[in-house]
Amino acid sequence: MTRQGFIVVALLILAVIAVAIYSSVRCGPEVVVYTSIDEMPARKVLEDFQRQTGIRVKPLFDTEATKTIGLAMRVLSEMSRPQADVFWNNELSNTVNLARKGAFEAYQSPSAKDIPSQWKDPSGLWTSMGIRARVIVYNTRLVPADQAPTTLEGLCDPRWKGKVAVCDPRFGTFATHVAALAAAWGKDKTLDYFRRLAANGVKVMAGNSVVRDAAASGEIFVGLTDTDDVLLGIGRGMQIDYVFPDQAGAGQGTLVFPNAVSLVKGAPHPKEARRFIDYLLSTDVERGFSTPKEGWIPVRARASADAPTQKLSSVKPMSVDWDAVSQMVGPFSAEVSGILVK
Amino acid sequence: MILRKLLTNAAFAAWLTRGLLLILVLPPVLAFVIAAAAGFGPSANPANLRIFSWALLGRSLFIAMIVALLAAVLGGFCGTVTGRLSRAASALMLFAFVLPLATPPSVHAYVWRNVALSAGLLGGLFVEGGSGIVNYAGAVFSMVSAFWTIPALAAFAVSAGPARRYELEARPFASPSIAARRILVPSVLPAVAASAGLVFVLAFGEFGAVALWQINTFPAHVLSLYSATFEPHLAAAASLVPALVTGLAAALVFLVAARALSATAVERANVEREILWRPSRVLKALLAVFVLFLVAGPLTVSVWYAAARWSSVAGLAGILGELGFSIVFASAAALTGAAVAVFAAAAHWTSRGPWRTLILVIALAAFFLPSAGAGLAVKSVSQLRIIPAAFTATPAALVYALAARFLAVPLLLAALALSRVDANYRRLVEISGATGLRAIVSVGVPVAFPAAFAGFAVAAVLGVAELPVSMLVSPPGSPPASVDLFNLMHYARQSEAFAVAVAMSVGSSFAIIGALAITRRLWKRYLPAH
Repeated sequence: MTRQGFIVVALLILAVIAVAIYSSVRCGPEVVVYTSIDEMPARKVLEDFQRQTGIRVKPLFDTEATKTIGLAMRVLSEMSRPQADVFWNNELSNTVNLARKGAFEAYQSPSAKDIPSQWKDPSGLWTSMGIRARVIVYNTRLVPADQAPTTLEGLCDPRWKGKVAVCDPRFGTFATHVAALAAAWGKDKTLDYFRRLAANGVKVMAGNSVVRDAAASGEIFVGLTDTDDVLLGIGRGMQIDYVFPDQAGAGQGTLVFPNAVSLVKGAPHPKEARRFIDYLLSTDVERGFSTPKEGWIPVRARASADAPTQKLSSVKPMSVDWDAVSQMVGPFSAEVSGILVK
Repeated sequence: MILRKLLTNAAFAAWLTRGLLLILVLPPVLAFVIAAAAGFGPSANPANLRIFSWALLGRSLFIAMIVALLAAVLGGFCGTVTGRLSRAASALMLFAFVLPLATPPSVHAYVWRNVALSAGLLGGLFVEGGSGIVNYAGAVFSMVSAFWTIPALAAFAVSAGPARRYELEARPFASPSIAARRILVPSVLPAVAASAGLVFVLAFGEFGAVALWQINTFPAHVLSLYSATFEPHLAAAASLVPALVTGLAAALVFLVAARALSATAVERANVEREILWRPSRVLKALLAVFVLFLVAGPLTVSVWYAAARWSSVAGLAGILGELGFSIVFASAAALTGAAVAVFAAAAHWTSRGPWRTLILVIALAAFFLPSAGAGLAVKSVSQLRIIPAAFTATPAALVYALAARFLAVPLLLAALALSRVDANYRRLVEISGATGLRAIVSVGVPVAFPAAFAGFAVAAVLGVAELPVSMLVSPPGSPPASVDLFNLMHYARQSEAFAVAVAMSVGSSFAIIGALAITRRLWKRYLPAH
């Protein structure tokens, strides 16, 4: 290659970079949204907002079941100079954690007035527009409905030895679940539970959707996963069903957890961020986003009358101190991981 | 007049290039060291997390050593045989050797895991902890599949190059087979040993492939400290151990590689192939089997999965756009790193003084940091008030982070290339009156340029596949392809994942081959003897 050839190649690369940088910094209203919601449903909401308002949305999606750094860590590392305007998390414990560290600014959205108080922070640091629950999934061919386990304790039954699965306790919603159990039961009882579960040959899988798939294929009989994974699986025709655990008698109830949207403190585009939050928390968006098809259940009962919503609305939820859960979620999950992951 | 004095002032030239090098590497390295120091504080571990584990370290070392050994044996054999094939067959094999390198190791693991699942081999695969032999075998095999062509390329370079000259000189006294045993094999071994060291470094630091086979290693443990526990200081402190291991291994590799290179400083022998040793049909068939199984196999599996549900690949255009974004910015980062590296290596060669080696070592440090640690270090630098806000809002931070992380690749190659040049040549340059920047630009840079260009190609490919740094530093609205690929694999959207993987590996392979071809031409131009 001649010297002129090199110059041409270098200029081409520089031109592409210049165009990319220009497109990144071009003027006009915009909002930066960090979200750990699954990309497909989230992208639809973001694109609709952009189309309706003309405000350009710059999203940053998380990596699932993060074997890499999650968005929460990024929000934390950017606290002295935030890049994000909005943090839309798919669960609550990390949001509460970040709120305690001062990453968010209070915002009481007018759209959230009719959202039940249990699904929003009293000071406005976060608000939810969809919920999920931790459920026991089972294979309907291999396990008759009346024999499926109905409690978490039931997963330690020798009947399921080697045929029960959970996902990695360090990541995702199972990390939250483990921390919530520790907050409710105490550390010792929780560790004892997971030791017995390990002794029952529990399989630790790469994610909640993998637990569901394994149940559908018959590789396992029962497992712990989230409602959205099960509902999506049922929607695809998988031979699975689910049970809300610990409902009978004095049972502790099922862990029900919301997604959460927060305004980042010092957001570069606060006006647009508030507008986005108002949009996200509106009934119309909730009705479109929080559907069984997308795997979410709305927080406003009137937003939907479908069967899964009605089923969840009658569930006894587990009593959760989210502040305690958020303090426990990292270190304690790692401790449980030490039991399940040798 | 002042400009001329500056141009010929050796101290000015040396500190100018050192300054460029330090601006690129020192800020993130310092930020990491400060974070690691905080991790040793008395109140750094309130939750009493397990930070260090001899068992994990031992397991990681064991796996990396097995991978390096297998890759060396397999690659050494295939590279040596390929070096004695016809020109067309060698070219085909070379392309086959580049393909696996251009594919992220986690994709190799994904391919082989799917194959094993389809074959019904994985009853207890998903049990975390890897107690089953299948888990270990799968992880080792996946990494061998990803890295075995590094020793193959090294063996090929020697077998097709300097070994021919040595063998030719021995031929009057020995038959082709004896000359091969006594000359060819010993000539190839140092290069294979050096590249096996590189495989060890890569396998030891790999977290994606082992995670897919559900094995917990020290790098995976460090990553979980970062991501699952929100304890970046503890993670930085813990990662000093693997950084030390890889640093020592890399130093060893450098020494062995320098020895191997010094043995190759001979003129190429243009002889008839019949005079030298040639592989038998059995050996050629064995080579074909290995290449078919380890290169064509994964590629075929990927294409098959991508094509099996082609209708769902309609949304691939967006991901390919992101792949384009990743390639452009990884190339820009590699270009920046290669430019700084070529000047730094040339300055190192033309100057003297106690600082020069120390500064080179600092420049290599970013390569040994854990990927997440390097990303967070750049993040903390970008948070400083003196850094313009546009730095983080645009891809500039990503380019900077990738350039700093992979600077070591072109820098090492350029330094190795210059180490081959006779010291008398440097004195000749001084006597001729070329000093300072003039000597660097007119003599050092041209000599080191081809090696730095090869380094550019490798660094660009590494940058495209880089995950944690991209995740932490890429600007919102411009997602890197590596993140998408990871998510697609996790969501079991196999057709899209494999389509992206094929696009990434084939595209990167052509980029590497193109860069190597240009390097060869440049090499010939600047070093007529070769």
